[in-house]
Amino acid sequence: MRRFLIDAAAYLSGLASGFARGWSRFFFRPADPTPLGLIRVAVGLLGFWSLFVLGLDLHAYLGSQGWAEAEASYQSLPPYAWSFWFFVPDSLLRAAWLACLGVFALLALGLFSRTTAVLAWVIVVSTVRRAPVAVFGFDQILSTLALYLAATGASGQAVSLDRFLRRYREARLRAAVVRPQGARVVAPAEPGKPRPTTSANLGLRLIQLHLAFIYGMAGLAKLQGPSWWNGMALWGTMAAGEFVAFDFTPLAAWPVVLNAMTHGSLALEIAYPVLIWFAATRPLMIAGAVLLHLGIAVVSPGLTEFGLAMVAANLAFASGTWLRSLAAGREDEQPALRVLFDGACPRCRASMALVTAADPDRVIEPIDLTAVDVASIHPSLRPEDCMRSMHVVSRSGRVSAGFDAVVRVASWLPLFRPLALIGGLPGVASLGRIVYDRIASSRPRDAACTDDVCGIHPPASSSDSAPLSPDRASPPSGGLVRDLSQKR
Amino acid sequence: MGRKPGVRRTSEPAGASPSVVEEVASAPAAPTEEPGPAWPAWARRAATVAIAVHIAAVAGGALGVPPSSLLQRRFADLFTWHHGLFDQGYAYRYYAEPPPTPVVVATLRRADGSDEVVRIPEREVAGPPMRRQRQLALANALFASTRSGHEGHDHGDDDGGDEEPPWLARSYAKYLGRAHPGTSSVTLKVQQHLIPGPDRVLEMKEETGGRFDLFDKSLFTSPRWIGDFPCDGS
Repeated sequence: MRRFLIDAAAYLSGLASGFARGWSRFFFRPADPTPLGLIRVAVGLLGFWSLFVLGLDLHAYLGSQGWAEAEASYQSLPPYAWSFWFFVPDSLLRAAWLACLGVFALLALGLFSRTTAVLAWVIVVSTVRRAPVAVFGFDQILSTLALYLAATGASGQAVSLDRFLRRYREARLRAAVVRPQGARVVAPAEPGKPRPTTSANLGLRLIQLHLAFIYGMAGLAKLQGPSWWNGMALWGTMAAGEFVAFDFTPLAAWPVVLNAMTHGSLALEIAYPVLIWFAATRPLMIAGAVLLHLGIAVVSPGLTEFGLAMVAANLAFASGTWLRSLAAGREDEQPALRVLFDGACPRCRASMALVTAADPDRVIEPIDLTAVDVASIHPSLRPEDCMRSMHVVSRSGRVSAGFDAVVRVASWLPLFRPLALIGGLPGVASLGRIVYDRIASSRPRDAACTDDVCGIHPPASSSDSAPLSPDRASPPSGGLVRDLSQKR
Repeated sequence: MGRKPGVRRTSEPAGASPSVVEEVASAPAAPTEEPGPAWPAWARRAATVAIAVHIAAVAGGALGVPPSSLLQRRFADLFTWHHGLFDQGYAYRYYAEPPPTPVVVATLRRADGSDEVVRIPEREVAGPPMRRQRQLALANALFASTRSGHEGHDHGDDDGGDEEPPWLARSYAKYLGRAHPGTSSVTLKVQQHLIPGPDRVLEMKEETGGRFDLFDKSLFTSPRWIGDFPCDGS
């Protein structure tokens, strides 16, 4: 008996300590904040859209004498529930609504992210509480995601203007440092790839757990319904006249198809809470969830936003590295572009600071042409051409110059991609080249031109050059960046 | 829970390009750069308590709605404060059995004796589909708020009995009266839009040459009276 008790105690003790270790590893290990940043963007956009749609019937939803009168609605609030909309007079309703739209817009952009995340959550909860008669699944998911973004304060750590502006200021400061005998550094010290943090992991883990719980509850509840057993549940949604946008009644002749879709949906919801935690099955679960929600949106367009919110929540399970590679390419394909800029030109340095601050990873490698032999970057490059306009060399060896180089750089940076699309339009491109050439030819420089290879002044020796930042100090591929002293 | 984050990645050569599956599959907590400073022990302990309470509250909220056991309801009651403050505690039991869709029909009577009928949800709603989805939610809420009061009565009956209409129906009727000037009274009724069985759809299609109207009158239950509401400011 004593042995049994000792072993049982040892087992329980081991179990408890193992659980504590697992808990700590699960919740408090730093994680890449990129997925959380993307979820923030989605919550901001969906919150903005939802509130905008409410605004089409603003007084009906939120007015004191709307569908649910404010006084009666206030009386029926659950314990501890709250909403600021009860305190907004009708005369200020439109102004308050506009301010709330502004908050969601800032959240989507990632400006003042910590503050706007909290405000966005306050708006979501307040709206749900003020107009509970208009709430459906979408509001529940949005409220949940907003809560975790607000509570962890980590949503602005990636994919945000907050981070971009911080990196831009840092890059500008570094670019302003005069390095008479070396290349100008125009990139921020903080790398494009965001630093993993515990707060980001906490936010992602809470979303993951909640999502698994939602799918699990939805699946378990469906097990009570006979139509989920006889395989005709989806017919019930596809033939519900009030919901559907298209005619799905021809499917009545294809019961096996309906059965397969019904059983597949249920299987996904039941399996998701378990299989999502295994690396091998996680992509299948995410793909299945995306298909499920897109399917729901096709059947019932009114639930499109619900589906998008669920898809956004599923981002919590995606790898930040993989998500970033969708925009920046794979790590072994970087840098995608080598940008030759005039390091003696303050405007060029500021532009490059802007570019490097927007770099999601290491897509762009800025090279100060006043400190290198440009022919070593690409045999076709000549110093006088490079001095005339910015040149960009892609990994494939393709060279772009001037305005076309600007568009090429912008096309690689998610933040500036819209500008690249506009800049690529035929008329805009022609105008852009003219404007660019004028600006480039009249740009101010720190040093006056003294010879044919204007501004290229090799350092006396490489040993006394100002140090480059660690991430820029060594050429990433092939050692093509050489200064003239090394050449000599 | 799950495999240890980062285990796979450490074995990859620097600069390697893992497949999409491996990339997605790698645990999201896998560190990619020099991580930020670790949280102090006190912060981890405080966060642990908060997370544990939150998880229990979310689980309690979902388990405590009917059908549920007395134990589940008691457990959920412990977190009433959490559900109120944080707007959590939802059941997430989506479409356990696809139900008929409630439709609210309001008849607005004017002083001159003419009538106007307002349907919620409207058949066609201008603007984004979400706008109509909100109307569906309102119809559901009105239906749910009146359902309990009418239990025990004949559901197909046009006569609803003597129960006091719920505040939501009264509020909505008053809104309609204000939104449609000249209205002297509003009568609210609710009916259900039924889902036709596939066999019936096939039969009808055969009879009509391949057409089936999901808004056929036979798919609607008899309207159930909710209440008459005079628009006299009372």
